[in-house]
Amino acid sequence: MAKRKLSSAEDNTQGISRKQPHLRHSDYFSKLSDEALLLIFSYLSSGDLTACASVSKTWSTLASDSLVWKRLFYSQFVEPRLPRKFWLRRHAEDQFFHRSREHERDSEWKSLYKLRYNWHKGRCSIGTIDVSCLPSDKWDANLGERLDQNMIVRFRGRSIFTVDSDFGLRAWDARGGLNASVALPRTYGDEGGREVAYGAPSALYIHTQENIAGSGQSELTIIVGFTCGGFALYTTRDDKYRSFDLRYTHSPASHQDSVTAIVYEYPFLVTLSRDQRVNIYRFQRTDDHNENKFLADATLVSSLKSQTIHGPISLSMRKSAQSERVFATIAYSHPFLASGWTVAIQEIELDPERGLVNLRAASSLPKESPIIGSPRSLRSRKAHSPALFELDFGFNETLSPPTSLSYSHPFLLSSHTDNTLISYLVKSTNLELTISEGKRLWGHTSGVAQVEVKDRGKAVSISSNGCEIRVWDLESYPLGRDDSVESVKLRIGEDNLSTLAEQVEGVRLGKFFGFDDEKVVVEQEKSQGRTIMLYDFT
Amino acid sequence: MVKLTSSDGESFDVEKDVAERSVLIKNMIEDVGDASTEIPIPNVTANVLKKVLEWCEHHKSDPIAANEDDTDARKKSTDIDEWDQKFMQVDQEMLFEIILAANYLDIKALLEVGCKTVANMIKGKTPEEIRRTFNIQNDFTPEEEAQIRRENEWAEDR
Repeated sequence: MAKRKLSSAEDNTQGISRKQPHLRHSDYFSKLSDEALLLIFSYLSSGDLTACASVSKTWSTLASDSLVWKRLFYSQFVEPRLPRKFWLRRHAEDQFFHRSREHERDSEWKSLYKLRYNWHKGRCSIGTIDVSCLPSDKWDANLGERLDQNMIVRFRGRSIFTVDSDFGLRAWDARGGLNASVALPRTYGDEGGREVAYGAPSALYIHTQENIAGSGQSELTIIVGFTCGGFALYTTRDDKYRSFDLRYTHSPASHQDSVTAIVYEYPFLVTLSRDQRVNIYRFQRTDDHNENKFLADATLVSSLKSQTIHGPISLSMRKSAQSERVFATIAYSHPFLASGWTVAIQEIELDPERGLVNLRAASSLPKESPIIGSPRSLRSRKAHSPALFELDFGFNETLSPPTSLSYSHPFLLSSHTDNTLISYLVKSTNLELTISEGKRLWGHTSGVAQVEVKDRGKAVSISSNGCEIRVWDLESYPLGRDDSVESVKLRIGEDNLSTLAEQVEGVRLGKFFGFDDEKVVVEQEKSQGRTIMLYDFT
Repeated sequence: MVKLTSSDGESFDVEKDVAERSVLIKNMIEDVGDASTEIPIPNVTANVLKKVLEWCEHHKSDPIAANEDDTDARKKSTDIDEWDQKFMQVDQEMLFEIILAANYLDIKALLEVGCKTVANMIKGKTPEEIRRTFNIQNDFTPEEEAQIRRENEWAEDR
């Protein structure tokens, strides 16, 4: 101890000139290894870490380190939802790693954390795209009305795609710039040689294929369905989607009803039409998987027809995890016991060689059925004694049909006019297909117009008149903690306060176009026309 | 007993199980095979070594990190037990010397206590307060700083 004091005293005698720069340029932290500083950071919250990132250049790098944020991500978003059992935790981590591998390639855990955090808090910034701007020669008095009738919007990544009969298929970037547009096919010749119109576009589906032939590029396949029952298939490549290539058009042999939904997973394409017919097409398989796979005809392999479905139908498609097979799933709702509605799904298993190989259906029914006597016996019992109590069904059924359905395996959601959503879990194995009992989700303060769920159980719902968008996270549900499903009302970033005020004053949110990891897209109606709103969480 | 010599030449006679809280010393004793040899600790000065050995003495009967789950639970919280808190009430220079020594001597639990102590000093502070507390030079240009602050103002949880 004494020795040390002496030596520091010696230091002082050597003058200020040597000591000052030493003090200014090094702090105690600079002696620590990066690992030790990372260990210190691992005890901090996201708020403290972001403060640390603003301290100095070295700190900025280390406080943004992926390992630190990965740990925080797990402790905040993953682990609280998992049962204590270690093996389960490991299992879920493995699954998670599998899922997020593509993210890990180009983005860091800090931005993943930020994205998840912003979703969690419902915080985002808004952008708008004015889709009704057009060359003046196309402008006429009925334009607004025509656009309302048939514009369909979808988006992928940072691009937005719109289709309507005036402008055809168009691609926009997130700042509202038009990247590409292509006119739609107008007519085709039928068997008698007459010209038949394709009609207006009535469905739009976008399929992403990542990393084409190892090039790192992704290709989008865009399918437009028409009121004549036909469809056209386009592809677009490069990053910005600057052009569309028409690959294939299908015209119906005989008159068919309007296509209301399309899904596609090569080599199958499934359409749903307004008259409740499901058509399954298969593209001829070729050895060339890229350029020319659509040159051969798509042939109709099966056609299914329903007489009984009421209410909304949702069509979705997924690849089997184990085999080459593809599952097309139709989710629908049907009246139940004349007292309410319940949901059901029908799963169509498609084999690339053999076509339709299996059809299964399941319905969500309560575990304990209410008394199901013959209608007459019920009625006569009622007649004998004036009813004091009505039949209590004891489960969640609503009196009006759901306003929308959305299915992304294993989550099935329905939205209702009574301000709620109902969430179901679908189990699909080789042996069985089942739907769990519904679980009601509260949060909206007015009727819910539409809901969409995506993988990992993230869902977005929009109210019909309350200008209210809610973000849901259902991930905790399958692991049994079903009391913790929460939603957040979207909060808009401070930069956009003026836009928000504008929105509250009489501008109505319109159709909801969907969402992905980074944003929610909603149509907004204004007196002068319409725009597309982007709620960006990055 | 084990004899340890600090970088500035001071010797310490320590019980073997106290000294073996350090994985580095434990391995050295095993390599030499003779506990009576003098072990030099070239990176640690006497005053720091004394402090570190005081900690090892107090914690000599602690179980060595039992299993993965335990360490996980411990890592998440910045709670420090009372004795360790008192032990860590030292000036900043000593605090960082202890962290460096614990890192060099491979005493995991002491390294964690040291890092938690520093983490607790950072918690809730603004970037400017952190710089002042630890005398860290702000090497951003004003433009860079404004930019980095914008990028980092999204998180509010402290």
